[in-house]
Amino acid sequence: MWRSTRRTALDSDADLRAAYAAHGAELYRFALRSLGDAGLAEEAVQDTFVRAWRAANRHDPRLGSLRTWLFAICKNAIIDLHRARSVRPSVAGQEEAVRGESADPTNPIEDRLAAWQIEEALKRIGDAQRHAIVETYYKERSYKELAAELGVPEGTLRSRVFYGMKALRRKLEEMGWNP
Amino acid sequence: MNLGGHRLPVEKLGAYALGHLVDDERAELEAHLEDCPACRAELENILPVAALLPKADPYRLEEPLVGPPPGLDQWVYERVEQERRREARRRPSGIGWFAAAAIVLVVFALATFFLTEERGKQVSLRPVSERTELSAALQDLEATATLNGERYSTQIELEARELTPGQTYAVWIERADGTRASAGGFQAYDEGPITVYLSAALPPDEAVGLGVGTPEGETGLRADLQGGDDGDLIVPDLRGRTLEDAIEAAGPDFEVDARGDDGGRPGETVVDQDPGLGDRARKGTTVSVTLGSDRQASEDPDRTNSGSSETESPEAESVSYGPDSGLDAETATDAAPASSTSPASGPGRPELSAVGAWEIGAGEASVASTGIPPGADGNAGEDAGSPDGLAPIVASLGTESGPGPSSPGTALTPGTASGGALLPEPLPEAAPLPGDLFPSVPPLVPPAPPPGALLEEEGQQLVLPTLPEAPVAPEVPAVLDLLQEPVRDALPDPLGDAVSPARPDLLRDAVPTPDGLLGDGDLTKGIPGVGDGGKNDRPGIDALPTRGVPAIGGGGKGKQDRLGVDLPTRGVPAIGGGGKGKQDRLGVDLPTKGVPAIGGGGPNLPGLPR
Repeated sequence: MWRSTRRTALDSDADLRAAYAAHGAELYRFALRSLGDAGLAEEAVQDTFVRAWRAANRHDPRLGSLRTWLFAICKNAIIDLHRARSVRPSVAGQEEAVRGESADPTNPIEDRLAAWQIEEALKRIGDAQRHAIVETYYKERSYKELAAELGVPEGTLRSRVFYGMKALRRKLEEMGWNP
Repeated sequence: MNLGGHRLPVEKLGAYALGHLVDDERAELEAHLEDCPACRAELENILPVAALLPKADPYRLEEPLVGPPPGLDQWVYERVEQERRREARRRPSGIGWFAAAAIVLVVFALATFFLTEERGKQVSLRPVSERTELSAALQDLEATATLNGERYSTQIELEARELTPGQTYAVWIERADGTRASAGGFQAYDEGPITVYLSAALPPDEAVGLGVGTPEGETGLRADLQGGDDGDLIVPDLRGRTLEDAIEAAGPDFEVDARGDDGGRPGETVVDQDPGLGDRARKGTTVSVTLGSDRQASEDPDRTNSGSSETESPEAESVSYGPDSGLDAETATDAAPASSTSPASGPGRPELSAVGAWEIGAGEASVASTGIPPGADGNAGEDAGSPDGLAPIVASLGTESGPGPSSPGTALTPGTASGGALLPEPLPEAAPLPGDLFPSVPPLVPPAPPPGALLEEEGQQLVLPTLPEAPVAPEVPAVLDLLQEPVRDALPDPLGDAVSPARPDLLRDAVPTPDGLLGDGDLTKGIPGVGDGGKNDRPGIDALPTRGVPAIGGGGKGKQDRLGVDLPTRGVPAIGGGGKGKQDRLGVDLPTKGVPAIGGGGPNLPGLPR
């Protein structure tokens, strides 16, 4: 592979360490949630940075953040590992069984990725917005009741839901989500 | 939010996307959305998120964020470092570029060396005398060759440059005794360089020299294939020349001495010489020549290579065959006007010894081939039985074909270029061709026999010449009888029709019969020579070396060979050559592999249909 001489985000060891420090953990969680296997998740993270280093000259900061780019690479690495695993005994299935969860053979890797992405996005938005969404959507509490509990107008709670959803979209897009 | 003059109901858009609005609110919002593009855009932005929310497990949100295992960062750094080193090995540095280039060159050189070694022996041909002493066409000629041996032949890949456009060059292999085995020749369309592929019917272990010259016999370049006598020159062929011409041809390298003669009487030409053609001799050697008349030479089997012309060749017997059982020469000539083009042959060009041509029909396919006969010396006795000792064939067919003598308009005239004599002359090796035998293609059509010359033996019937010099061996007639039908079958239809079953002897006799070898591949299997056959050779006039052996009337690689005039051979167009043997047809074959050729048979010919 011939690399251009253009400065890239991963040229130096410092760049690489900075990138890992900023995104390594969430990439690992992304891989772990998607693959259900810690070893494969580590492998996915390593593959992600190696692939990123190889293709660093193709990353254009003007088109997207390094984070978004790394997640896109990680997603491909996860899919590749998932496919490779599919021809071997399901490690993720064994792990989930240990945890009392059943491996859903019908759950394709894309659904797993989507689930992790939205969960990761929810964790990344503001607490007030996340709380408003979790309580109203997942726990199906009424706006009136929750607003009263929080001591805010109902309109303010609805606004938190709306802006929380807009924030989720931005976070999802940062993780390579493409609706 | 106040946008566009109205208060955007953003607090309701989120709840609406999640399905949390009651009916009245939903209806009110939907009514607003119909009139508000801004609100519709906001809604469309969050709807995909709302669709994604069901996929999340809300209980996982309560889990603490899991961090990567300790050491994963080091693994990542190590993996990247490994990749970095691997790439460094793949990507040459500045010096590495030179090293890589050097490696490529070395590999290329080695490959070239070994490939070359496998390809055969490479030789450079050098002038046999001072350049200025050579004829114009040879003065600048340069050539190299690669020779590959096969069991019975030597394949020659000749690269030549500084050619004279329009000039025909002859190529031959020399034997240890000085005789030559013709490898055919080629005609230059431009100055070259060109590469021609030729073949000589001589095993490589018998080849001592490779020569290139003119069809007139002049040697221009020569390469010694066995070494040791580089200082020697090839003795030029002086036969057929007047003493004056012989002295001129000998040039400064050789002295010419007429044995006990004062210069010869008018009309006398050299009928013998010592040292002979193809011999090597030191510069300054005296060549003793014997002068004699043409008839004298023709009567002497050992002197059959004397010059003969249309008017001076008493042995030029012809046969015509056609209508009213009395096709005469005139008919033949009329039917095949092109055949009146006579390959020049005269006292000055006694070397002419082989021309083969068929002309089919007036105004239609006119095809011809010529070949450089193998051998030009006078060792008739020795060569008569040699595969190289081929007799020339000249045959022309008239227009209207018909079976047998009752078929009007067809003439088959085998004979020599000098007038239709078909002689199994033990032609000398590599007898040169006259330059004007090779006009632009389509070339040669043999001359029609002179009127009156056709019927002299048997009156009403066309007769092939008697072949006193090379009588058919006793066992041959039986073979010929067996071959009569195959010969007919091998002929293209018009020709086949033309050659009546009643007169198969015409074909039979048309086959040169030195050494009694006729037509059948069985007789000559593995032996390049007369009538040798290759795969699908037909007995008959496709007499000749086949497999890789170019020769007069030969038959390419043996595939679909047809009546004789198709020629060499292995991918090599050459004089009288015949392409690669595929679909060879009677007649003119044009250059195949970038090399102009004269007279072979090959595809695309308007020759006889099968």
